[in-house]
Amino acid sequence: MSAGPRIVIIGADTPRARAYAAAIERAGLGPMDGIFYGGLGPVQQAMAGEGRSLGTLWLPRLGSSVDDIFDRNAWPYRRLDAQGINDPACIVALNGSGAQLAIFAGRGGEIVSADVLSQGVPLLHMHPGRLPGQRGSTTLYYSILEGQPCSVSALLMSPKIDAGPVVACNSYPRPPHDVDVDVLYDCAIRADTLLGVLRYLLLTGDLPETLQPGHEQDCLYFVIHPVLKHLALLALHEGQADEIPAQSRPAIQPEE
Amino acid sequence: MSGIAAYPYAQGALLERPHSYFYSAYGGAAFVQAWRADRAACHLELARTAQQTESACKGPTADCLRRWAEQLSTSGLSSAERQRIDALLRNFEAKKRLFEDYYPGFNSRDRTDFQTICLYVRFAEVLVLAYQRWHALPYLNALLKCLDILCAERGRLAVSDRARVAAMIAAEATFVAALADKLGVTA
Repeated sequence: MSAGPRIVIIGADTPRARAYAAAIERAGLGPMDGIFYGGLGPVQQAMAGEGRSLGTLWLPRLGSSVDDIFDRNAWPYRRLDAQGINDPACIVALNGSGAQLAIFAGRGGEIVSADVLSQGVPLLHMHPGRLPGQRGSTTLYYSILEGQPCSVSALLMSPKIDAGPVVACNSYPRPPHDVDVDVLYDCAIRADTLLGVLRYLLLTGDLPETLQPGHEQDCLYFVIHPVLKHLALLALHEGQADEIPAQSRPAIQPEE
Repeated sequence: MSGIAAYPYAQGALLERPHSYFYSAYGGAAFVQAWRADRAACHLELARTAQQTESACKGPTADCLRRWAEQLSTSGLSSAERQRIDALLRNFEAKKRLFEDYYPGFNSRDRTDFQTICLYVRFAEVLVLAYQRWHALPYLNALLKCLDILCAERGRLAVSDRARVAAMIAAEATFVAALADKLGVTA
């Protein structure tokens, strides 16, 4: 990719960050800069479906650390002696990055401080759920329970959680029962929406225009109770929850 | 994906060491069966020892919960009051605790006064009524967590509250069964 907007991935070596980097690598949308904190993540056991596709949705391989992915692509990155996004070292690094956009790939539940958000570098976050209606946590399970498609909203972060301008929102077929939802499917659909935003940005030099909020009821969700989570997963097993017609629901395809 | 022999979320000192419920393990249909059996045992124990006596639960939060329950029962709840219920729900989900008194916005006035078990009974009653009224899953989600606490702490329940908790366990079972039925889940 020729010189375009300077983009940095900032986060920890989480499955999400690995999925973003692997998806960007596979799509040829690099180079990216990286700012990473918190040390290397644990060795990730391969999960069923990794590296294969559900129709057009690629299930990323999560075995390579972000360092490995950046090293093999010769993308520049810094590994900081910091434990979280709000550490002063991260703020200094972000401020001095020269990036026009930062992709946030922190740990689940990590709250980004106003200090980080005021460094002049907008932070792009992939939120599972259709905003503004589905705010909060574990919304994929609630979508399944409520008969809604699983969605991801790309938003620019603001001090109020899940309340910044939304620049893209995509819906996806529900996961097959044998694909891990918490990590693999969640990372895959976030990465897929991220790729769409990046392609637009690299093509036009700008982010997509902010979407106008719909009229759906605003609902804040909290970490799903295990009983409700089991009902959602059992519904996938029994094939009853999916409203997507069978003929349009993609089966897992061998890796290209 | 192995079966789970016992339901692990309604045991121990949950007010001292609350569950986060993050990334809970999948146990298949056996997990749901284990939950149902655990709740049935709790229900049986409470129903056997319950007494129909006047229940005393006093204080600012108790008064607020009682008023909400009355309003929810009579359709007289304003949207502003629903927002207040949601604010308390948000605080409960964050802390898994209820406090005897709060500042406006539901920040606790005293971080150590979360042991008043009758508050959890009254809050669960509000959640039952709220879910019956609005069918919004956040109320059922919080009810499941609140009843985890009440079953784990059932030895501390006043005899006058035991029948109330038993009734809420029955309501919870009905809600979960209806949701499972809607989803076609047969566990």
